[in-house]
Amino acid sequence: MQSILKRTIFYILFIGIWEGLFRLCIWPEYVLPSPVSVFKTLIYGFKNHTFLIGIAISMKRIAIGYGISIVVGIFLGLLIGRVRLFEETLGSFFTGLQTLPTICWLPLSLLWFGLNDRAIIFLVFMGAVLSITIATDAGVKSVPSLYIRAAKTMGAKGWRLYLEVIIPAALPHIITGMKQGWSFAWRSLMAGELLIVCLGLGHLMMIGRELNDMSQVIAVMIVIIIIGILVDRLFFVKVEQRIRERWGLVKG
Amino acid sequence: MLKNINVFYQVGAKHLLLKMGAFPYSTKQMLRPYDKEVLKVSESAGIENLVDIDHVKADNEQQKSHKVDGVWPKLRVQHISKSFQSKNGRAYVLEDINLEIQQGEFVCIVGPSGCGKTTLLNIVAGLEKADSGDVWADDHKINGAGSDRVVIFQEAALFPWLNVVKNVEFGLKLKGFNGKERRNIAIEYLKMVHLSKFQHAQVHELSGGMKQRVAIARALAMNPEMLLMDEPFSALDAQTRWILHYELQNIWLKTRKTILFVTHNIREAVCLADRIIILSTTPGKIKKEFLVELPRPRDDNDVNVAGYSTMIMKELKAEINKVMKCEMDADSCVECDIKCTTEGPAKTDIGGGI
Repeated sequence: MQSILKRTIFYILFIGIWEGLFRLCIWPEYVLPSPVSVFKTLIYGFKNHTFLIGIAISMKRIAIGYGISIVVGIFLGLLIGRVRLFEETLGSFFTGLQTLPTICWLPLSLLWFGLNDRAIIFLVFMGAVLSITIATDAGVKSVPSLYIRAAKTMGAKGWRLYLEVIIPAALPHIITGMKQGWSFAWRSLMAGELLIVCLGLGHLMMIGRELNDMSQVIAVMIVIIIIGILVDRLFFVKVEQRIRERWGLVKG
Repeated sequence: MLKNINVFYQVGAKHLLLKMGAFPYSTKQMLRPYDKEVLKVSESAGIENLVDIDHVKADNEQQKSHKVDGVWPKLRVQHISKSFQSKNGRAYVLEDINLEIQQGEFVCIVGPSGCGKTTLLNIVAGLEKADSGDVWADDHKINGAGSDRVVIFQEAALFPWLNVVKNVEFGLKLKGFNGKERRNIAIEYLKMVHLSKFQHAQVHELSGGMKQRVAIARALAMNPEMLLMDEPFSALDAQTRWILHYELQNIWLKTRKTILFVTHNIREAVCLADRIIILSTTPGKIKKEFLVELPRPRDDNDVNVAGYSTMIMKELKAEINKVMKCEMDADSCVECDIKCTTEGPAKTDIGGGI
């Protein structure tokens, strides 16, 4: 209860100082808009559906790119984790690739796919896939061999062994990788949308910049933050919580 | 039920098959070591036995299992050897193990730590490969793990991502039973281990003994041909173990599953087994076999159980000493003693000659 009170006071103070600075007129309005105008833009943006369309387009891109990266990432992670040959070759290659910021794929992406949706989806995919691959690999390697032996004596082999034992046993690691992958994918999406102009939230920000409408830029930033928090709270935190409870990792 | 028991008994390099008649069940003769006395019995039994030996030998050469009185032995281990590469050269873990287990028999393998008993069980389970030799289950050769031989490990190896009843259903799901069927079977076996109340519990909520009971239910639900148990109770406290000994015996009396049970606890072996096989260490060989003919269910603390444990302990003592000598003080083992005596005198001369 107290923490909620503290948080509320913090935000009221934050917005108060912001409004105060605006009222002092140190900077012109196109450099620092007032919180009130940002709020109005936010409401207006949702009312005339531009924000909703932007959100929908961005979410569609990340859903496709991130979805593909989950499937490919888990598959590659299993390969590297279970097959010595792939570990020695692909494993080190991916670890090296992960040091490359995703946006560095932009030139190649543009060349391969052109100025369109697919280029952005490729960026999103590249953002998430390596995290998921590396986490799955670590997860697969940490599966106690006892589980695999027990499953084998109960007749598990081939893909059933992977589906029924190895993937569920590696799931805590995989979820961590997916969470990290999501944040990378989200950043790549925004970077891509800012640079490749074809609708989406990033594009809405660029429109704000071009119109010198800083309140729109900040409004879109707030939308992006809120979506990020919602996905983290509503999905990842819940899933992690459930896994921890099930595996008995929660105390009390 | 009494049955014919075939045992390969090793005398030197020669394998002798002792074919014995129906074992007289008497409480006086409750424990019967396969010793020279038994050898005498076979000698007096006459030429028929020799014919039998030749027959078996021929079969061995063809690498086939054989029937005993028209029935396949449930498990037949033939000339199993296994060695590992270690820093100090090859370590021979198992050497020419021959063993037969009949349908419904409860056999315990006892030996000091490191004698290869777990390795033997893993080979039977198909989780490890032997360097040479074969394992036969009924009429087919074992090649890899299979659901006809379910292993119960020292740790319960329950899957933490499934709740109790789903753990029990795991093997049935692989076998292709539909949801309702496998739930019914799982609950039936959970009832057998008295845990149906905990069917929806998570694995981590159970105590060690309960986990091991779920593991037993999970194995039994598969309706395997035999159960392989690898020191399943050794990580539990004495009280829990006592309860589980009782429970396992009751389950065995109900189901009459063939059980191969590995342990280093002699009391446990006497409490549970029809037949106890003693393994010697480095290399692991079958040293002796004992039959335990005590009424069931037996109690750990029963006077007779204690008496037989002492007897078997004597047999095992020499082996345990061997292990202790090697583990406690590596310098004093046999090979080193020889080295020391050859190099020793020169050194003592320097000091002692003055």
